[in-house]
Amino acid sequence: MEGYNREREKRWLALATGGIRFGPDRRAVSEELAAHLEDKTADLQRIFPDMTESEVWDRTLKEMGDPRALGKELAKIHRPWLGYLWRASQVVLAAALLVLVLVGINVIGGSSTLGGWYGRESSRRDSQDGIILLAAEEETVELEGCTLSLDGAVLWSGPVGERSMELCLRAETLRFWEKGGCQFEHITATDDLGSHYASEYEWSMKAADFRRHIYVYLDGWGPFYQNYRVQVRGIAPEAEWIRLEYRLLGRSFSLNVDLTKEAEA
Amino acid sequence: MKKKYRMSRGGRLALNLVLLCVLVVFIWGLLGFSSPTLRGRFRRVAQANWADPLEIQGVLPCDGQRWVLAAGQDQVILWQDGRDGLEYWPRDPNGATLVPVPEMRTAQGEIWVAAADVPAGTVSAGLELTVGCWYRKNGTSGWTFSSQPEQPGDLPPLTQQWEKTYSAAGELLKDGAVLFHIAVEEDQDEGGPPEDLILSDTDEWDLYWSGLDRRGVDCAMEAVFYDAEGRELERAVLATTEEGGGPWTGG
Repeated sequence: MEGYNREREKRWLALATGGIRFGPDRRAVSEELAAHLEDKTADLQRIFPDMTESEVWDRTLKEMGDPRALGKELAKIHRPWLGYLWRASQVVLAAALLVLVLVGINVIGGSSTLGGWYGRESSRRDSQDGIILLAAEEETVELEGCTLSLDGAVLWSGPVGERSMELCLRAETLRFWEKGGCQFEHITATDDLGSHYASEYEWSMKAADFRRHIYVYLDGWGPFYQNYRVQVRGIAPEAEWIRLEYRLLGRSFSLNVDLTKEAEA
Repeated sequence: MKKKYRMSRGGRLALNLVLLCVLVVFIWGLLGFSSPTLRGRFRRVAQANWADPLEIQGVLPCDGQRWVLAAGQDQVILWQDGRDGLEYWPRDPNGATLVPVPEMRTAQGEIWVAAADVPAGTVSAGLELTVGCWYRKNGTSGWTFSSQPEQPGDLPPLTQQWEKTYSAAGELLKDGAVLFHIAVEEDQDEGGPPEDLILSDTDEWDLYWSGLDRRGVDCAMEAVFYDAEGRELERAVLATTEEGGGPWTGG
């Protein structure tokens, strides 16, 4: 008998909620109506203990009204397009989050530090003599909303005695959308001996002397910073300091590197 | 018991859309706020390269590639759509500046030259370009070109000389610049050196910074700008020099 009544309840619920086209709404309303039916049958059984279960269900379903008429009203209230839109917005939001995570992984994966590079690719430097890690400079420069600083530098000797230096130029900015600008290709340098080091742009585009030159590339970036590797090649063994200089379209900055100051172990 | 607050479906939808907008803007930002318009993209690159504000003087349609020509302070700037960097050419302080559009590698045998800071009132312009070199044919293995007959080391001097003058009418662009296009003719002299290779050398920017001993060809170009009545307004010159060092810098 109980199974029969359950079937009646299911049929009644199906008629009452069949007009709701958005599935999640249909299931939620069905659960709510089922709870009402349960409450009502429990009340009737409590008030009229002599009633059979079948009679209780007869009366409950009768008092709940015509399921078809109720279904029409419910279908009007539960507009399917709003449900579909909501569901679509959830899907698109999840997709956007996924894209953000992928872009974020790219950002995190693209970032690194000089120390990390120095350790990771140390095998590249096996043939280079006397490689030393220079002390990080504390000087910072503010330009175009960027804070520029030198994170650290390494210095080594080449086969013909002249030295090369690689340093990490860090540009921090709140303008997270600006990355990979090529302005640092215009960095030149001079040392305390008066030697000029051609910028990457000068030697690549304007046939500048290649003996002392600079090579720059973007090594890593995050939303609010970019790390550039600046390689200065052809440094005389006697040089004690180098000044990196940028001067273009009215903007300029300079940063000094002490070639004699080693980083503490 | 206090009833648990539950946002309406419309509210949740609106919240999702707001969150989506924030995320899309952030992702778009991480991708550099790429603009749908060429000028917008140029402005973005100029800003990222600390070069703004720049005065756009023309959009150059060269062999299917689009370049933006702009000017700022002492530089004329060229930017090819899609690139992160800008190309800087010194701006002639005395008038119009001639700039070869660089790296037209796909177009062997033709070059484009742009003129910036063209005088007001220009309605037509003409360009005359003279290219010359010393050369030798090395059997079947190619050619040796040089701007001087003497060769380094024990190599014998070059004895044959080649020179040609080209003319082109300028195309006035919307923002004021003028674009000249020069191409070799179909019927090249079969006995002479490969003219298309020699002409293509003239859009290599390092040519104008290289001294006589370091470059393959010599080149001199002169543009003349005319008003509506055919009167000459101004002349602009660009040429390789003996010492190199770049145009209008005394080199």
